[in-house]
Amino acid sequence: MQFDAHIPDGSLQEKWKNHKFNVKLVNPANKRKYKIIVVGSGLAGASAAATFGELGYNVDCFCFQDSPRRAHSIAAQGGINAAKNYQNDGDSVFRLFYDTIKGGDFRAREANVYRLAEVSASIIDQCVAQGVPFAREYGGLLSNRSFGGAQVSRTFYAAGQTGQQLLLGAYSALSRQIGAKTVTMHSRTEMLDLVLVDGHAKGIITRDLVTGEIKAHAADAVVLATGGYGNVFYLSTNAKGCNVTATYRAYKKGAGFANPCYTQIHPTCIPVSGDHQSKLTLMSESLRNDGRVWVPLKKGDQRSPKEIPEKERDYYLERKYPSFGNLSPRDIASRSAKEVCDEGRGVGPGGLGVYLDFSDAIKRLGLDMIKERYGNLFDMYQQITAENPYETPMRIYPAVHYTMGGLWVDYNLMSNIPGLHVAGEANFSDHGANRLGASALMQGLADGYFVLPYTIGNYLASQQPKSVTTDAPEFKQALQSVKDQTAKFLAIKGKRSVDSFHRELGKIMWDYCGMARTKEGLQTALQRIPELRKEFWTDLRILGDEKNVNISLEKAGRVADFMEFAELMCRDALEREESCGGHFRTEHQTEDGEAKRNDEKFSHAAIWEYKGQEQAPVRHREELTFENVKLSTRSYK
Amino acid sequence: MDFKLHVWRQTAPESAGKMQAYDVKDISPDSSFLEMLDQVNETLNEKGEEPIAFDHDCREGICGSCSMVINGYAHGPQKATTTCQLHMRSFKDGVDIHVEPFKAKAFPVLKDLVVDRTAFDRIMAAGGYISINTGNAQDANNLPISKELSDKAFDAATCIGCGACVAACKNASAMLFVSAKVTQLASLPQGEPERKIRATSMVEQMDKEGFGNCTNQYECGAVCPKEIDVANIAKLNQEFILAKLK
Amino acid sequence: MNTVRSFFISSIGKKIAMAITGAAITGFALAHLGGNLLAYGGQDIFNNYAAGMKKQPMLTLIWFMRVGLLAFFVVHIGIGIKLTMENSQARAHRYAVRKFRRASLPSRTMIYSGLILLAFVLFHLAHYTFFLVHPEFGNLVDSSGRHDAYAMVVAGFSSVPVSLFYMLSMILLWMHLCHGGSSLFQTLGVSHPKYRALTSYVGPIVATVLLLGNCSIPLAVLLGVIGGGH
Ligand SMILES: Cc1cc2nc3c(=O)[nH]c(=O)nc-3n(C[C@H](O)[C@H](O)[C@H](O)COP(=O)(O)OP(=O)(O)OC[C@H]3O[C@@H](n4cnc5c(N)ncnc54)[C@H](O)[C@@H]3O)c2cc1C
Ligand code: HEM
Ligand code: HEM
Ligand code: SF4
Ligand code: F3S
Ligand code: FES
Repeated sequence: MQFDAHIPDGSLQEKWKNHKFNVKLVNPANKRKYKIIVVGSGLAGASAAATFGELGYNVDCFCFQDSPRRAHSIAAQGGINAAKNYQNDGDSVFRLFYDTIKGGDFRAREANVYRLAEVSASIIDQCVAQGVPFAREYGGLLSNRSFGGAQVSRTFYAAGQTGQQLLLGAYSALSRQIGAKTVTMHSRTEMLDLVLVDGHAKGIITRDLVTGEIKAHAADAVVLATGGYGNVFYLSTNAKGCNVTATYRAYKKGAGFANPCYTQIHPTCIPVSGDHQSKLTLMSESLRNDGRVWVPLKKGDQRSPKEIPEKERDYYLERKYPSFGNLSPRDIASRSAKEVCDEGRGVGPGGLGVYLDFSDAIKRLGLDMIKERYGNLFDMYQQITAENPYETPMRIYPAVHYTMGGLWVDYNLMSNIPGLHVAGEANFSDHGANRLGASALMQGLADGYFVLPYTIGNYLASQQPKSVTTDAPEFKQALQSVKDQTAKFLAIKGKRSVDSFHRELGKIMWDYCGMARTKEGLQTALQRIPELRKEFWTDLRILGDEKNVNISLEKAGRVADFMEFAELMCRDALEREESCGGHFRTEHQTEDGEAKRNDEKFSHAAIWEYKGQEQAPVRHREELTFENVKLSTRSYK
Repeated sequence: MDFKLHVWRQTAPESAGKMQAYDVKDISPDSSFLEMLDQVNETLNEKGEEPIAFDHDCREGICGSCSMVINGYAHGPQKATTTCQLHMRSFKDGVDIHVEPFKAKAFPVLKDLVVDRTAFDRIMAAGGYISINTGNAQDANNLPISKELSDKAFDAATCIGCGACVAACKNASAMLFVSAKVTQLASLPQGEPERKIRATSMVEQMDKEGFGNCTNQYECGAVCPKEIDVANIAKLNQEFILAKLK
Repeated sequence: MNTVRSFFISSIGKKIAMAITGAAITGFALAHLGGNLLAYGGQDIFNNYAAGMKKQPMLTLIWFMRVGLLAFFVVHIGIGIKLTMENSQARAHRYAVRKFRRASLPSRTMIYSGLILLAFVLFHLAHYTFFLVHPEFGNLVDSSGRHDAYAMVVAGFSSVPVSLFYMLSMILLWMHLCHGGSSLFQTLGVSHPKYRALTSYVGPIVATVLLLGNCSIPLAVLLGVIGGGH
């Protein structure tokens, strides 16, 4: 199998410029003859679909929610990075590029990351022009905050709901195209298979979640912008509907899946409170701007936080990483929290929590300022925990948050299947082994507004418009197999609910493929997952029928894919015999417990090729070469 | 905690629905309303009854998916709180809880508690945007905007499109939702060129969708989980009058 | 023409028509109250005022007002009924359990208070303007040969049921205006926070002035304050 990244020639600074000049173009009059399918209406999908529409293409856009505006991007809180250097604090495209590469623990592709940093500034311009109300200073100019992993202030934000505002901006652009009839929106429609014709991605099979109709859609190119797969852990900060189905089914059709084991565990989430828990809530990383993280010095200290005097507190991030302190990158902050809790110094129920304390900040800045900056987050915390964070420190604990892995794509964001493009969290491209805060929003919008609109033309120019219709036998076949699977779920008539299986799978993944992974653990998981999968296929109970809204049936499809995908993740984690970014193998750490990379053997992206249900997948690699940065041990001390 | 739950059950869009009672036991006060429903669904599944269908996604009060009328209030008895953020500790042990879908002609019920809110999307497509093609924007800081205006726009922009305003309004009017978007864009200089056409087209589409007429009941603002101010409705009226006067 | 039409069939346009006509009727009611309070001045002053209204140049003005008022009433009632019908259709199905957090009782019952007011106005016209209830009211003449409106009012309100009906109607008018008198500013687009606080008082104040002023007249008659020495 071929994995050529098609990185353009020239210096890092010139690659994108040259490439934009060299890509093939589609004549404006011809654009409307081409149909593009965009699956997903998050930042990546909505921005791509809207821009394609503006360019004149004919677009079909899909999402499983009842409205494109509800895509999971809506939940992002903290902010979006851009190398604007409005603060005059030494930021530049190169610095953003460098921070992102370093933050990703040198496991991302230089050319892609540089391009990301390059277009980042245009994103802010575009969004402001759309009416996105970013936070501003009294002088009327845009305000910035700092985020983990950076020593400059380059994060643009809209209170604690940046993702919402950005998505509503993209959604408004999308709505405009829907109104102009260049985009047809299919909400409550789930993609269940990818269709290849002559090896090219030429369509998808969907299920209408209201009527149950299973339908084929043909197009000249397909874009998957279906988000991340953090929900394989059941408990995560992701929305309940987030899934791997679209990308996993593409994988089963031959698309390479890159670095599935790279998962980000976010350090500031509200701790689990009981078995009823269905999801974990993130407290934005921006809180670490002003909050201080600590645990008691003594093990099992049961005193209330206020009674613990200053000198009996351990501000462990400030202690261990004096220069980045509370703003050290996510993977490091998460692992440190796990460490102190493993030592028995954790707080709250089960000892699985650390304090995030604002009392100093309130003293320094005043209550009003803190309210203005974080009011909605504090309210949310109080809502969930019934504790008042203005008075008593928040309790936080790491939780699964983001998945850096995804479908492999080249510089054009095209997978190894011609015509299949992948954008946003669904691809693997820009964050390496760890994503810096405020970079996912940037990447999603970069892909959708500024990259795909150029690169997709390059593919389309080589295709005859409407060369394929849904009459092709490949569509008939795919349609049938989706129908069969739906029927199969309903026919099992076992005893257990989908959720119970999902929960159990999540527990296995968290225990053995979570924050710290070991060879034995991963092997255990690799043994238990197939057992659970077998039980799933014999003991699942789905009531109701397929002709109406059927929430269990929808979930069953997603969990069935997680059941297979989980195995791929563990396999990838097992093979990557090093610690890097979000992937921490206990066997590979330095004496003081920091991650130990193995650049000699693992400076590559691992790309998995599906070989059939009965056969093990094959691991390919894309070697990563670093010509513009020096590989160093990531240090935030 | 134990509850007596009364839930609207309806199998399909055309079928007639009815309220059905369930005894619910052993609910943790820390669980959210939707987690309580998850638990009910788990037992229903065990008993061989089809689980209660409801919309949800983010479960942190931002996506606007969750949509139920609980004990007579859209999103339930707690102010400024979406259903998914409502916790069982805010109910007394042993009480009756009535759960119904958002009811409006423009929001047909699809199943149980799931309704069709695509009317909102069509209103947005009629004018809820600023026409700016990708790539045409000037530098973001070339256009300073006072913090006051920007905050005003932001407050209006926090609408999550949940539809509770429609559900709670005695007239099933969508004015709060529409006014929030119109106010956001009318407050900003970027929104100026399309100001008139936006107000009129959005209102026209809103009327077409079969929402009722606003009679200034202000219930919408009182149930809105994001506390969108009803002053936005006055603003929309103003925009509309000015647009029509030309 | 088209824009005018589209304006008035739009939901907001209809509301604006309600507000303008409602405001106009309220304006009349206030002026009318002023006239009615002259009854406290005694027979001469009141009859003089009543007769003045029927002489030129006032008479022409009054006719303009009458035509305008009739039109306002027709529009106000017509659109009020249409709005209410459309609004009840927009809800399709009722809730099993329904509670309100902010919407006040007066605001929820505008159509009922309005329709009862319609009944009141019709009765009131029959009573004092067309003399249909008591044809003899038309023949009352005072010592100066003017129509004795004063005596008519005193006679009319001497009936306890009639007075009670008037006062009950005034309570409904109070309810109607408590909401309507403020809500019309919202409809007409007053959105500035400073003025909004102010306008929220207008309705209740106007409503209360009308309630107290209007009710005082039948009460005064019943208590003998007006017409006692007659
Ligand atoms: C709580 C939280 C806070 C975050 N905060 C930040 C932050 O502050 N800054 C930052 O940069 N990043 C943040 N992130 C990460 C960031 O929000 C996401 O990575 C990013 O929004 C993903 O965008 P996307 O467009 O790729 O996918 P999504 O927004 O997840 O959209 C996926 C779309 O695909 C559709 N879809 C999925 N599967 C199917 C299917 N099978 N068929 C049809 N449609 C399908 C969905 O309907 C949806 O429209 C946060 C993430 C979380 C969970
Ligand atoms: C005679 C029968 C009447 C009927 C059927 C009637 C009906 C209504 C209705 C249904 C409304 C509500 C519309 C809305 O809130 O948008 C309304 C509003 C109003 N009415 Fe009446 N009404 C009547 C008489 C009156 C009278 C006599 C007055 C004044 C003395 C009056 C003044 C108002 C005002 C000021 C409003 C508020 C308009 C707004 O909210 O913008 N109405 N009326
Ligand atoms: C209790 C209080 C009221 C009293 C004592 C009162 C008294 C009168 C009298 C005496 C007349 C006849 C005047 C004349 O023809 O010489 C009259 C006319 C009238 N009243 Fe009232 N009225 C009262 C309240 C109202 C109210 C609340 C309304 C409705 C807003 C109203 C509407 C009218 C109208 C429309 C006329 C006819 C005016 C005309 O001839 O053009 N009245 N009223
Ligand atoms: S205005 Fe409030 S209630 Fe209405 S849709 Fe927006 S957030 Fe929901
Ligand atoms: S409750 Fe309804 S009547 Fe108007 S003010 Fe709100 S839309
Ligand atoms: S589930 Fe997203 S707002 Fe409630």
